[in-house]
Amino acid sequence: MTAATPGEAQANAAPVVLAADRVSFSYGRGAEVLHDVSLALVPGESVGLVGESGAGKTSLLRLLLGLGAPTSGEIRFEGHALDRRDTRSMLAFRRAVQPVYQDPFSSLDPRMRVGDSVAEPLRSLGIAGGRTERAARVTELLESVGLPADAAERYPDAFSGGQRQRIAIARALAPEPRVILADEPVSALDTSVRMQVIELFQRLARERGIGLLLVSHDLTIVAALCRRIAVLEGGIIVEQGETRSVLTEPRHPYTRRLLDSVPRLP
Amino acid sequence: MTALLTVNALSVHVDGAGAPLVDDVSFELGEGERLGVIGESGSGKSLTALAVLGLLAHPLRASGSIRLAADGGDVEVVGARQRRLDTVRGSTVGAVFQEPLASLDPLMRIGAQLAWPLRQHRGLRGDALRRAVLDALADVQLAEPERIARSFIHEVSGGQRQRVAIALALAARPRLLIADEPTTALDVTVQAGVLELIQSAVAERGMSLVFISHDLPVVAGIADRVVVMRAGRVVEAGETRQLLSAPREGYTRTLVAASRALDDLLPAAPLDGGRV
Repeated sequence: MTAATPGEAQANAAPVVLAADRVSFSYGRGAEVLHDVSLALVPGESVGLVGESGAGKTSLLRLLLGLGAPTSGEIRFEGHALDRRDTRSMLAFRRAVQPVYQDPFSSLDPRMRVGDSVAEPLRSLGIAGGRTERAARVTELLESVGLPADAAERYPDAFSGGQRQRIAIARALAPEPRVILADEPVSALDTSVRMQVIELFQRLARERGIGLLLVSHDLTIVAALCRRIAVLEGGIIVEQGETRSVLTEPRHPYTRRLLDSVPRLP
Repeated sequence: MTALLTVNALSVHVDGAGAPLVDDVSFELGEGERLGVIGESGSGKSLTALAVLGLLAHPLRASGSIRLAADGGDVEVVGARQRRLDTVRGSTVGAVFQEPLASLDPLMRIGAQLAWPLRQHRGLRGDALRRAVLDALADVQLAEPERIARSFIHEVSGGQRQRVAIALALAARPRLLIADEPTTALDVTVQAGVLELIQSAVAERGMSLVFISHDLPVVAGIADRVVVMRAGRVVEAGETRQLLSAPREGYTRTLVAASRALDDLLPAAPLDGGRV
């Protein structure tokens, strides 16, 4: 195993915002679905978490979102172990750590105007401000993801899959998070739109210094977006490192098998 | 090459309403040929497949012509009676879909489901039938065919389910397999195995293949010829290599460029060690 500890990443550069530190997890008394997983996110850097069904991607994501507690090890946020009972620090945590999900058709409320959806984290996390202030913020957010301001007045069904994912990203950006955890954010999109949404993520992470964890089964997407990659198989990170070097010289047989399985153009 | 399937000016409408969902689509498929149909969501590619199978349900209605060269002479699928279609489906055309559960019965053991077309189309009974069921499962490279035959569909993995669905589609020895996004829901390592299986099954039996997908690299790896669909229409058709190297239409160019850009992100040379 080559898992870099959060400490190592810290020594390299920016302070770690969110980390899994030797995390293991099992549901109830079942078998472990994550074993001794360490992963660190720093501002402005993208990490790809790659694995197939049942590898433990979603379980790890849930723990990193504070939606569950590890069986052993800890989730660390800004240097402290995350305490899910501490309401005040959890509020700060929820502002700082935002999710984007795979399916923009189900992650947006069809009966809510797009503007209200985007402003929702501002309300629920108590960042609100006045109505005009909020409207201005929504306009700014929609523009930052390449949507016109009048999109705010419309409902999700007026938008294509790619546009809906942009809306979901605008909503994630609303509380000015330090980290975005994206679960297969482009898998449901058509090929031609996929690249555009990837470029959007890239630009946002760079401009706003957001740390991005991209969970995906798709090596191509991770190669496009992430400087670092972690390969998860059967709950264990079997390989972790710079994306370039892992993809050109994979050390673990599973990474090689994943790479060999990607359908290529002749 | 004799045409096994001839689609001519096929359109699909919602009964009595508006614009066609599939609009004036024509293509031909020769004996032993592998045709890819590529398009994004809403392009009409799956409706085209359903029309060929005679599976369009009310209020969808096909017009134009779909001719299949069956053993007892040509069959016109458009407007055919269910009875007539029953003689074609299975024995002339088999189908695999994205979601294997769509074609599998959750309440019936896998062996029993597979036995049905073998009895119906090949007239097998008793021991011969039991052997044919196990052979069919072994043919799709399922280890432990006896265990799989006794299992219900929820007791096997996603990749195994798709293999069972393929075994079912092949059971009556059709001359044409229609595969509609058969690997889209599968993990990439599982997809690789299922694609290889489809390829070898079709080659060994000398079957024709219509392979429908949104994924250009997947189609490029399996089809000799490609039809590109968008918004219900065929925008371009041609030899796979030709289409990839010199796409003529703007839409195809965009599609090829986007797929190429994604493909270029991975290291170019195949890694030594090869396939595992």
